[in-house]
Amino acid sequence: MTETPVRGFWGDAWRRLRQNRAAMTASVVIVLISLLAFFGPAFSPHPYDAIDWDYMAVPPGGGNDHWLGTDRLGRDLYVRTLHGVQISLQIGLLATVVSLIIGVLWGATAGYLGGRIDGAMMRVVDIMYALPYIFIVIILSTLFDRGNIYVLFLAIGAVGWLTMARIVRGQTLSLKRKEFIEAALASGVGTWGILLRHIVPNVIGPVIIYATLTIPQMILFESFLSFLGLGVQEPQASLGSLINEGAQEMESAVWMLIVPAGFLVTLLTCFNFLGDGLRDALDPRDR
Amino acid sequence: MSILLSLRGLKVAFPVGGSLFRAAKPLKAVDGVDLELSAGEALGIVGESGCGKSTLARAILQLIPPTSGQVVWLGRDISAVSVNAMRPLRKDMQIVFQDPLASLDPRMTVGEIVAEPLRVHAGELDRTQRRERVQDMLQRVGLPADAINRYPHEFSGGQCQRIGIARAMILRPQLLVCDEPVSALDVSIQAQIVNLLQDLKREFGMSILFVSHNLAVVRRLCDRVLVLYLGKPMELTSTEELYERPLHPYTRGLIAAVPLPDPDVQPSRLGSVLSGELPSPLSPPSGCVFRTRCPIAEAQCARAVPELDEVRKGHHVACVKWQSVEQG
Ligand SMILES: Nc1ncnc2c1ncn2[C@@H]1O[C@H](COP(=O)(O)OP(=O)(O)OP(=O)(O)O)[C@@H](O)[C@H]1O
Ligand code: SF4
Ligand SMILES: [Mg+2]
Repeated sequence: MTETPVRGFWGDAWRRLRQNRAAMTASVVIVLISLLAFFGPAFSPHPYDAIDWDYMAVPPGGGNDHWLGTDRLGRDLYVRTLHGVQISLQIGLLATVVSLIIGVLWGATAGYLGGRIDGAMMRVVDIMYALPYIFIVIILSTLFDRGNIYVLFLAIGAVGWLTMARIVRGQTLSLKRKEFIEAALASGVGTWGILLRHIVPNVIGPVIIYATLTIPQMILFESFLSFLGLGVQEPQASLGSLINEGAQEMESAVWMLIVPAGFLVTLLTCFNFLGDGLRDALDPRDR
Repeated sequence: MSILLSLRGLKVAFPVGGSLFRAAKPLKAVDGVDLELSAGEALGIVGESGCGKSTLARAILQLIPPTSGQVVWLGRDISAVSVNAMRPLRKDMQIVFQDPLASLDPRMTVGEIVAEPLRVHAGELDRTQRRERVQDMLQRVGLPADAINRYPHEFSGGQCQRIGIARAMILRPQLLVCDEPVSALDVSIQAQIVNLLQDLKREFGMSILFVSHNLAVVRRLCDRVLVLYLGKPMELTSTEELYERPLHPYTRGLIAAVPLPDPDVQPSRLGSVLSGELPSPLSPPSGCVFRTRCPIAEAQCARAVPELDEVRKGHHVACVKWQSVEQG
């Protein structure tokens, strides 16, 4: 008899993800951009907020050491964009993690306890859904210190967990009724065993997928706020605020728009490809 | 033969329809079942959909807490033991479910699924030993050797049910509860699964509680049969006796619903297929619960609930007019 190695669920998912070329390319690009964003500025002679009086609004490839050009104030666009990517990534992750924690806890509790507690908890979610999201965020952004983007995104994460809570609750609820949970109970598996060996592996797939798709949403949302002038404040920059500046100079200095926009589009596309790849990898049923 | 399991006045009621403003009404899914199951015996539980068969099966295994009555397992009342005290006992009582695919965790390989009871109850085995046991059992239930590393969704319904049976049998339980294990399967596959259960019973000698609404399947496998209607036992006797001399009008109706193997037998009034609607279990008829559909019901049937009496040796029936059934 030939002994084949034991394949766990995660091993299998990893194997399937590795076979997905788009998802693998996307994750490599995300890692490279992240490394560049966090370590790249240190290797550049220009700080992100330093003004170079000799080179104002020079286009890329102008034979000087601002190889992606400068903005209207003579700040190096390469370093500034990397700084923007760094801020945008941090914000996307922060808001996603906050919404993930609240959403998973809220949804799993509601789904697992069921009954009236579930009813009450989900009505809270319904009410929050009905509130105008952007309105809340604008109020929040004026309440907090304008410069403190992180507090703002903690708040956005704290409002953005609703969908995650619904996903997790629905999953937990339907899992609880599944016969394989009953089979485990009948075999004498304890509560922790059921949660860790059966509920978590069955819920974690959708959670990971949704989280991967939430990061670009949050990045995009921050860009949107910055575009409205509600996001990061000068001299700090995010991809959104850079695009906003670039759009204002579109006719005279189009590179100021193209460089940050290029990074944004690349990041968003990669996150979406990765999310799709994870969806395929984590759900062995519909391949 | 020694008694493995006895039920004493077992009742299960679900509170339904309760809301903030209205008290819940009890739905009596199982309403007073007395039963003794010997070691090595196969007992069928039959009845229409919704008559409480699954609830009874789950209450026996303490997957649903009984509302009242006792479940006595090897001389010990287990209806009130704690979840923790129950756990070690589960090694000897296992269950096979109706929906084969839904009863297998989609995130686990077949090997992990079948090994789960070993993990809980046979901690002394190491990985290789566990794997060997699983491999043996998979082979025993007729699955290919490479099944161990595959996922449930890669298998057909009949194969999934074999996986479920392997999981239930891996600890060599003394009692195997089967809750309609073949009703979700194609007719051709049903026979294979019933044969497998028969073989396993011959080999391991466990008792079987076989829940089904298919009388033909029950006849193949079971020594005795309990007929349930709206949670109440109607008739309890040996399989042979039940098919030859059914003494309850409901049993007659159920048998008549099965295509007759013998075309000469003329269906009598009593032998006609059950008509009428199943009454709501929330408000069952007074007296005999079957009277709204019984072709020979009389005024007296509404007054008192008929007892499940032993009217012949080993033949219990809950009907005041069983004698006219016998003659008719
Ligand atoms: N968790 C529950 N809550 C409320 N009512 C329930 C619950 N489970 C079962 N019931 C009700 O109890 C009665 C018996 O159900 P049960 O599932 O035991 O019937 P069954 O004989 O197994 O039917 P089937 O052949 O359809 O499987 C039904 O009326 C059902 O609606
Ligand atoms: S007791 Fe009466 S109603 Fe009930 S089955 Fe017998 S004859 Fe029919
Ligand atoms: Mg059932």
